[in-house]
Order: sequence, then structure tokens, then C-alpha cells
Amino acid sequence: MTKIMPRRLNGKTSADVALIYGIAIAFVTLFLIYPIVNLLVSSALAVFSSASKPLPEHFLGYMLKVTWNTFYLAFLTTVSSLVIALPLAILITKFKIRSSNIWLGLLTIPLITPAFISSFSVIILLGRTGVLTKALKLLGIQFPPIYGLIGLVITQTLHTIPYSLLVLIAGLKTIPRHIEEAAQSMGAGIAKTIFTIVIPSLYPHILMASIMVFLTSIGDIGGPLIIGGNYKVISMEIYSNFISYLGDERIPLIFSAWLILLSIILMIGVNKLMQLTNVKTKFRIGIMEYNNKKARVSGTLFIAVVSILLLLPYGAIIIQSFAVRWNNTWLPAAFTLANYQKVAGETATMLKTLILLGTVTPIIVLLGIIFGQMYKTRPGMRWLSYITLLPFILPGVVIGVSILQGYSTVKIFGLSLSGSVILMIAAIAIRRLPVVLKPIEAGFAKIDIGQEEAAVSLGARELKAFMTVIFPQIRISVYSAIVIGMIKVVTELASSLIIYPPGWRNMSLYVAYYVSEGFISQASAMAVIMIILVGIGTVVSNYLASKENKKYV
Amino acid sequence: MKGMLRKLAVLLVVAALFAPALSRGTLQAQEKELVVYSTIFAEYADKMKAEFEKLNPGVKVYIINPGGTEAMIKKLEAEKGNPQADIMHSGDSSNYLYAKKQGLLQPYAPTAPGFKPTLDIGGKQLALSDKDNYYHVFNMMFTGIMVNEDLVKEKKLPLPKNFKDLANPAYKGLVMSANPLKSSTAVTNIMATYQMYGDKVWDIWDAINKNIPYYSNSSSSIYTLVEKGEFAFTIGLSRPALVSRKNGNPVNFIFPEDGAMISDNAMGIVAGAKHPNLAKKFIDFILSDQMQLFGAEYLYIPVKKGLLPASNPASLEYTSAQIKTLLLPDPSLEEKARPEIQAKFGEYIRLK
Repeated sequence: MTKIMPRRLNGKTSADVALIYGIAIAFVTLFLIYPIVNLLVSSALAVFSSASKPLPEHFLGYMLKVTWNTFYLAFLTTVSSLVIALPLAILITKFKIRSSNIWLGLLTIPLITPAFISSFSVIILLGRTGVLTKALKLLGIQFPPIYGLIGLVITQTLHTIPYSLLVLIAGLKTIPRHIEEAAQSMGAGIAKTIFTIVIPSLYPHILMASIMVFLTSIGDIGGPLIIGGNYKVISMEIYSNFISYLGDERIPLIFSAWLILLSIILMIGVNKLMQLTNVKTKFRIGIMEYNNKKARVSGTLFIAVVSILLLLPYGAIIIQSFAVRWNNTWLPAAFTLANYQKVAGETATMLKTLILLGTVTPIIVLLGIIFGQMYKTRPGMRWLSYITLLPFILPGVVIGVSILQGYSTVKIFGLSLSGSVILMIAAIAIRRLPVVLKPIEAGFAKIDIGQEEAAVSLGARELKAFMTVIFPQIRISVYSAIVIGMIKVVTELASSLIIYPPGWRNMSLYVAYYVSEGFISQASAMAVIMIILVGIGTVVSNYLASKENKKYV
Repeated sequence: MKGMLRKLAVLLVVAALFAPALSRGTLQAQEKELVVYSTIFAEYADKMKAEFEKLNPGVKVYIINPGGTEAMIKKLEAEKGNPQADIMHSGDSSNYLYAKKQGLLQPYAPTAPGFKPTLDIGGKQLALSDKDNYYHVFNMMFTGIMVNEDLVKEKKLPLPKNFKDLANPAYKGLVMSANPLKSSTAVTNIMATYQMYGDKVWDIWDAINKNIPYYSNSSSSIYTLVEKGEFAFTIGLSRPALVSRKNGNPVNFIFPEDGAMISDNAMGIVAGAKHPNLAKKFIDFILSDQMQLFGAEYLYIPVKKGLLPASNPASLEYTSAQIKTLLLPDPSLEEKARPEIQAKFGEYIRLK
């Protein structure tokens, strides 16, 4: 590990802060930087040192086409995800929509559902023989084939709306009511206030949500694997040539390096934008809510319609979970409880899921807070943010293999690391760190660093200043990070699949296994249980968060 | 709030302390566990675990499926310095030839009663064991075409008789295949056409390629997609197709008249296995009559002659009676074919 001494706010860094930063940097160095560099260098040496044949003809053109495809898809997904999520978020937070928590809970379901099964549920609905395809046909509408760009945009939009929604809602809760009150008192209508005050104040979160959706789309494997057809994207090129029989070993290397380069350029651009849109709040007062009956009623209707549309594929999963078979018919040929009986016996699988959840989530949330504070107060360390973001876009299987290869022979206290669950925990933590770090960073972005400096100059130690001045202001972002983090830990698949040690098959692995074995119904039953379990966790966290919130209002 | 942070920190520390305890001990006086990397289908995997544990009281079997044969090899390669698996199980023997060359396997000569290293099929000899005993074939399937009969009827399409019939322009957009660069199953089918058509093989594939909308990177989903009626045909293997039919789906498997080739399932002991004695027992267990017959229930063709009556649909006799041209894998062709397949399908896929 390289020793980097962070600068303190006023020049020095106290020992406790240096230690905390050191641990966080060590974790990322050990489980991300070293394994990836090791993997890239060792395979580059192996591949390029042997007398190599030329790359396939027109490879450069192909690479550009795949790159264009990747970014075009990410762009379309980002736009459609935000266009749907932004009005939903504003309605839920600002218009006293009845049972908004229930809608919010329901809208989180796509995030909880393993990507594999989501893609299949889209096929059940919109495939050539899909239920909706048939319904549309009766109305005289021919739905285009979904294997390709259309199917990808649909599944990725479904999957990313909850992300956008959670980040935007967290953002809306940080807009102090007085600025909206001022606008209103000067005669601005609700719509005008929303467009001229609320949305501009939300730019950091809109940008953060966009970048999360954009990168999720770039890193997605489940969608391209099941529904991508001929629409080729970078993540799939890496995956299918990395885990392959006759694949060209140079392709995953070239594409990985290319992807890392592109994402760094992208992040530099985003950081520049973030600086332009930073809206600082000096102090916090409760948020503004509008009491407008017309808006509330039409808003409720809008939320209901969008939610039902978005949740159709998940309804299909529930139906599938009770099905004996479901091919090419309106409803399954026969229903059964057998799938649930099989799944109910998998208590070990559920227990392992909970253990992993309880271990990885605290690790990534703590790391998220530490890195968030570091990037905020130590501009000299911000280069590291490009690295902590990498796991978002690098295929999970590459991360899994890199950690496995890097640590297969390492022993701690006589115990071999590669047979233990430690590597699995580390892999999931590294893979999901960006998911919690981004919302926490968005929270930090709104804080004026001057407050902490003031506390420090008044004699508070940095740690104390952070706890008393900064943390209360980012805690809403931290809560949304915990919720997103929990969900993404439970659904992590790509690196777990390659790294899980004997006895550690969790629910997400179980679902993927039975989907790929063709036991879609059994996999659906487990997915439903997973949604319920994580759903309960989400509701409990939200409840605790709102209770905690009240203390500060 | 401070309290909450402190709780998080405590959790982290506790987790860090307990994590090593959660790992399995690797120093055992006696072999008490067996780690099997296998991509065999779920019910067979459950059965082999349960039965082996029953036969060896006190032993725990862990079956790990890293998501396909290719991923399994990648995992074994990454762990080469400190192998975690004792057995590499399932996937066709070309994968095992590769694993042998990479030094991932160690030899063992099975002692299961009735198992012979070669199998006589219509006068031709099929090698079941590697010549140095690094791996062994434990059951078989055939290459060919899975068809969704409902969709074929609905679209009023003729049924293909030969593999080359898949080039019929009426099938445009309806033929599915796994990506041959990624999946060895797809390659086995291509190797069969190599034997059927020799130098003309690429003319036929140029035409079939036009009917294939895309090459699936998820090798296992091709059967589900045909089952659902998303596509009318998939180039694949007999067993998954016939099991789907047995489960009541409107599908069938066509053994092409121009050639159906044996696709085998192999296994071997991992080099440096931590539980070598149990591993040897396991190899013999999989080759035992009991497990051969169990596989047959799921239409895996046993590698021991005379185990099943010729009337049983899983017997070699029954299956080969349906096959006009029965082909055996020819490893000598592979050297020549591999770079050609890589180049040709690389181009097909890039240009789609």
C-alpha cells in the first residue's frame, strides 16, 4: 500500500483521521487496485508476448461500433429512467400523496429483483409469444422484436428507475423550505416554483442519478446476456471473450483498458459539471410540501398508472412462481405450490444471504462515508474517486477472477483465504462500494465546507466536527445509501458466482442457477421470497430513518 | 447518531473477527469433505451429493457451479496455486483436454466394476478415458436440432430432416444457437458438420448463419427460448430437448439424417486436490451402475453397455436406432478446425 497522508483542513491531519483514511485506502488497494493491475498485467504479458496473430479484420471499426452502442444505450436508458423518476420523486415528496410510502416501496421492487429473472419476465410479457405482445396484437398493434436495443432499454429502465427515485427523493429532502416559500410569497405558482427553484436546486442529485443510471447501463451484463440479441455492448464483449471457449483473449484486455479510459474521461466531465451545479445550503429547515388538491389527485393517479405499468413484469414473476409451466398462453397451464415448498427448504441459502448482508453493508457504508468526507475535504485525494468508481463499470466476473487469482495462495493464521468467505465479502464490498458512495457524495456536495472549518477553528477535532456538524446533514443521504446498499449487496451476482466458497450459495446465486437451468418457476419463487425479505428490510430501515429524522427537526 | 455510527463500526470489527471462523478449516486429519465443481443440471447435482454422503457417512459434499463449463475452467485456473476443488465434473471432453494441458488435472484409473476405457458403437471405438487417465466420460448425448412443434405448425414450416436444411430461407430469424466462441456445446455441433461436409462446411454455415438472428451468450437459455416459442429451432443437444418434451412442452429433438454426433460429459480429479482419496471414490461412484441408471432417468445415455434394455429411451441402442448417420468425436480434426471456427464465427458475429 502506498502511504498517502491526507492534508488536514488547515494543513495538518490528526492521527485518528489519518488512520481511518489509511484503512479505507488499504481496503481499496488490497481488493481492487492490486488484483485488477495484477490480472491485467499478467494476462497482457501472457497474451501479447506469444507470437501473436493480427487482430481480426476491421477490429477498430467494430470496437467503435460497440462503443457507440454502449453509450447510445446508456444515454437512452438514462433519459427514460429520469424522465419517469423525476415527476414521481417530486409528486411523492412534495404533494402529500396518500400512502406515498407504499408506492415508494412498490417502486423499489425492480431494484430488488435479480437482473436475470427481470429479463426473463420481460420476455414473458413482451417476447414473440408474450402476454402483452398477444394483447397488443388483438388491438392490431405489432410489438417489435425485443431482442436488441428495445428490450435492453426497457429492462434497464425498469431496473434503474428505483435508483433515480431514491437519489432524487434524498435530494428533494435537502431543499430547505424557505427558498420555496420566498418564491411563493413573491407570487410564483407551484409549477413555476418547481421549475425555477426546486429542479435547479436538485441538479447535483439529478446529475448523480444520471451518472449512476448511465454507469449501471454500461456495466450491465444480465440484460445483454438474456435479451441483448445482436446489440453488442462493451460489457458483453469483455464477458463473452473472458469466460469463453474459443474467444480471443486479447479482446477482453483491449476492451477493459478502453472502458477504464472512457469512464475516466466521462468522470472528469461529470466532476466539472458537478462543480458548476453545486448548490450549497448553509443551514437546514424542514422541507416544503404543497397542499394542492388537484395536484394531489392527478399526482396519485399518475403514480398509480406508472407504478402498475412498471410492476407488470414483477406481477409476471409472481404468477410464474406458482406455475407448473407457462409457455405461449395467457396464463400458466397449471398452478402449484411445489416451487415454494422446494424453496422453503433452503433455509441455509437464506441464512447465508442475511450473513453476507449484515457483513458487507456496514463495510461499504462506512467506506462510503470515509471516502465521501475524504473527497470533500481533501481535494488532493479526489483522483482516487475514479478508482473507487471502477467496479461500477467493470464486469463483476472480472473483479471476481482478479481477487481469486490475487489471493488464491494467501493464508492468514494458517487459513487459506480462497476457501473462506472473506474473499467473497471483499468482492461484493468492492463491487457495491460505488453504489453507496455516489449518494453519500451527493449528500456531501450540498454541504458548505466552511461549517466544518469553523468548528475546527473553534477548537473541535476533525472527527468531532464531522460527527456534530457534518454527519447530521448527510444522514438522509446515508440512509438512502444504506437502503440501496443493502439491496445491491443481496442482488450481487457476477463476482459472487465466480468466487463463492463451498457452502456459501446465497439467494441471488440460487435464482441465477435455476434460471439458467430452465427452472424459471422455482427461480421465480426464490426471487419472490427475496423481494419480500429485502422489502421488509427496506421498510424497517425507512421507518428507523424517519424516526431518527424527527429527532433533528 | 454518533451511536449509530459506533454500532456500524462495532459490526464491522465483529465481522472482521468472525470472518476467518466462518471459513472452512483446511487442515483435516481425515478427509471429511469433498468439493466438486460441476455444471451438471440441478436434480442430478442434488442426487450425487445426497447419495455420496449416504454412502460415506460423515462426509460433506459441496457442489459449486460457477455458471457454466467455461467459468468453471476460469475459476480452476485462477485457483491453480492453491486448488479449492477436488473434482471437475461435467462438460464435454474437449474442455478436459484443455484442462489437462493447463495442468489442472491429475490422473486416476477408475476401478468401478463394468467400466471400460472404450465403448464399441457400431464397430467404431469411442474413447471414454483419456489415454493418460486424466479424465473420463461418464455419460453421453447427441448433437442436433431442438424444435418447437407448435410454432412450426403455426408458421406452416417444413420440419428439417438434415442439419443443412436449417439453411432453408423460410427459417429466417427462427434458428437459435449458442455463441460458438463462448460455448463448447455449439462447437460440438460445428465439429459434427465438419465431419459431414468436409471442405464444403463453410458454404453450409454461410447459409445457416443468415437464419440465425443472434448467437446467444447464455448457452443454457437457448432451450428455454425454444420451449417458450420465441424461436422455432435451436442447434443444441438431445438431452435438454428431450427432457423438456418429457415435461410436457411442445418440443422435440431431431437427430439430423446427415449426421448426429456424440457429445460426451467428462470428469477428472483436480491437480493438487486436498481430498484425493474421496475424489477417487467419487469418480468410481459416478461410474457406478447406480449413478449411471440415475442419469438415465434424465435421459443421459450411460457409458456402460447392457445396463439398460434396448427399449429404454435413454439406452444407446434405442437412441442409435433413430440415428441414420452416427458420428463419433474426432479429436484429430480439432487442431485444424479451431482457428477456422474462431475466425469464421468471429466474423459472423461482428457483422451481425
